[in-house]
Amino acid sequence: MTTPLLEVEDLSKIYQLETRSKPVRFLREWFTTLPDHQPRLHAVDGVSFSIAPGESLGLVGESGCGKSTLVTMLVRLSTVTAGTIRFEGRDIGAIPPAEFGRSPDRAKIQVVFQDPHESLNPRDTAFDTIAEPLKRLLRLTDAREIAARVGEAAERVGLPAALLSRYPHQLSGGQKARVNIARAIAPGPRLLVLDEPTSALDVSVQAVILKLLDRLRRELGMSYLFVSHDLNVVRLLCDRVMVMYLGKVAEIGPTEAIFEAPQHPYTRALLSAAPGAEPAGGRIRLDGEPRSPVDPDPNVCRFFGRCPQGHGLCERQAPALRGVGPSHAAACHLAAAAEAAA
Amino acid sequence: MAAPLLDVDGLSLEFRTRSGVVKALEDVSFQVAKGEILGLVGESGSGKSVSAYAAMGILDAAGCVTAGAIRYDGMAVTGAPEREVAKLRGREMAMIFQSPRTALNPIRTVGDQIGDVLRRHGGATRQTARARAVEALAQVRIPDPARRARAYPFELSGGMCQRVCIAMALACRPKLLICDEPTTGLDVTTQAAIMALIVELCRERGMGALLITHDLHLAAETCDRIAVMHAGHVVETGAAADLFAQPRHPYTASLIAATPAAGRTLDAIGAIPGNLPDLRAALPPCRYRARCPRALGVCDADPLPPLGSGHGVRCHNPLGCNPMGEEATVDHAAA
Ligand SMILES: Nc1ncnc2c1ncn2[C@@H]1O[C@H](COP(=O)(O)OP(=O)(O)OP(=O)(O)O)[C@@H](O)[C@H]1O
Ligand SMILES: Nc1ncnc2c1ncn2[C@@H]1O[C@H](COP(=O)(O)OP(=O)(O)OP(=O)(O)O)[C@@H](O)[C@H]1O
Ligand SMILES: [Mg+2]
Ligand SMILES: [Mg+2]
Repeated sequence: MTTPLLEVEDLSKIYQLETRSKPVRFLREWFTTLPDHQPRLHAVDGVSFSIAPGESLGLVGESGCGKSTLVTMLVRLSTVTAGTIRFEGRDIGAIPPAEFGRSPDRAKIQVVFQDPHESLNPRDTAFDTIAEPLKRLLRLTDAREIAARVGEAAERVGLPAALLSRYPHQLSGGQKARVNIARAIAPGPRLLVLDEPTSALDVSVQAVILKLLDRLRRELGMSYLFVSHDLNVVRLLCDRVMVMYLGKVAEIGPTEAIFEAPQHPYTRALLSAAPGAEPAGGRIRLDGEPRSPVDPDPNVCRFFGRCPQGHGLCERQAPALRGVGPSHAAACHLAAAAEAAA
Repeated sequence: MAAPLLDVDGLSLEFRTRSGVVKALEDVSFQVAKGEILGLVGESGSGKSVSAYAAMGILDAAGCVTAGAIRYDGMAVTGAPEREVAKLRGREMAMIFQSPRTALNPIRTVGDQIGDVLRRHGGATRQTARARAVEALAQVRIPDPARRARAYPFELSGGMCQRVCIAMALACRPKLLICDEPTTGLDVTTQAAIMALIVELCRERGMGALLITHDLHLAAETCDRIAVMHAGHVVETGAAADLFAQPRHPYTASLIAATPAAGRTLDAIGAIPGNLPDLRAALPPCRYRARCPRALGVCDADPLPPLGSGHGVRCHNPLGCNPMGEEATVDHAAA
């Protein structure tokens, strides 16, 4: 096996929730001997996965399960609480976000953020926007070289050269999305992280952008981490899919296996809820209260309480991720049992 | 039939900008009855948000109604004094906006913000506002609502902010709910729960809803009726099931063909050729003319036929009927 491009091990991000103001904390410390417990929100909790060169990994999961938090750690915009991030074998997780801007790896990992309308600076032309990472990350200064690279990126994403002098408000949604993608691919990244790149686009533009992303990956040999709520889109674009639930990996495996034979009950519920899907066994409704991400009990499955199949064991022991098929793993006691029986 | 809750009747609307007059809406008509969900679909820039803003009476100052009227429960919204319309907002009609994070105040906790709305419009007191805000958060499935009520918007994920906005809009039990892309940032299980909540409010309390969305599957599943917009025109309306099973306007058909679905490969989804026309330029009677694979000579000359009732379409050569002896279906994969 080739060495993975990105290797993430046991990555966690925990937010301290400051529920008391400073004077109150001071008074408590003064008057009581009890330790003052600060609630901790486990946004990402022990996540491990890898992405091979040229591979496209889809990331799906419930709103608030930690996808954006994971992405901001990977692209080193926020600190890591615990765990390692290795990129091309180098540990980049320990580099503080403020210093990562100077790292040579910065240009190799690029992000496309969710909303093409909000992620463009209204005072920059399309040209300035695409040229910015070339100047800042690759330190290019020769105007002719910059213009050539901007032109090349624009051509790759199908942005007419005449539009390069326009400002964001003079561009349509689809054109803005192209500018965003051109900016990300201009420095020649090896890994492109896309956080819901198409959800703000309408179907006609979305179809064009999806085809574009698919072509770019084949032409440039990049890897993708593709965060999306649209399961149909993930299925079209990704080789493997990772499903997260409340900070943890619920299931990870080849796209076909996940869609055809999902093993985790949350994955099954997710697939059955997609509008337009007609699941064989009917829709699975998730009733019951979702568990809190604040100080979660380490011995209870995160999905317990909403899981249609939850039983006694799930409340006593949190399931670990285990193999349920070729390169397919799920964190569920029941899925593992099914495999053993088969 | 009883008077509809919201009646948009032949509305034309322009924006006067420095670079010219944008003819954003032309002769737009649709109705929302009590207990009904009307879906508004169409490409970006087709005028969906502008229609919603006009109905709420919150148009940009550059916007100017040139013809037609909007009535809410029989009362004219267009031309009414601002004070009257302001009274309707919040109490009678509520809106969920397209970009939820910007709609929230960044320096107040979300529980306080919902509480504010409840005290202003929902008859809550200082004492009850807190508990009702927590209840509202639980309704939109935010885990650990009592604790998360104390969170600031930046501490919540994108989808959670969106759900806070939905909770705020629903908290006052509006009679008309206008939702502009309410669930774009949500996963499908949460989306299903939120849509089920909205449908329940419509069925049980007779709330009317206008649902603006890009997601045709979602519209097909939740809406009773759909209106398809293109470049400021309503080009087709009908019962959701009919419209998706048998689209009559070529634009509706190509929207459906462009939608990714289970079992459809990337090659099979067809992009819609061309772009929306520039709404500042002189426009032909049919604004889809330049992109249309079924255009005829009459499309350049005659005004669009009226929408009509039931499954209505504004097209001289709609699919499924054959006045000019053309082929009845369009191959959109080839187009
Ligand atoms: N600055 C912060 N302080 C405290 N909690 C935070 C902060 N940022 C995020 N969180 C919490 O971390 C969890 C994960 O948030 P994240 O934004 O990663 O979710 P997500 O999976 O991207 O969701 P969505 O699909 O809604 O965008 C949420 O419970 C959120 O409230
Ligand atoms: N304040 C304004 N001044 C000038 N033109 C405007 C203004 N607001 C909207 N428009 C124009 O009106 C048209 C309709 O815009 P609208 O926001 O309603 O589109 P939409 O259908 O909601 O699109 P989306 O799906 O992207 O939200 C567009 O051409 C837009 O440029
Ligand atoms: Mg997110
Ligand atoms: Mg809009």
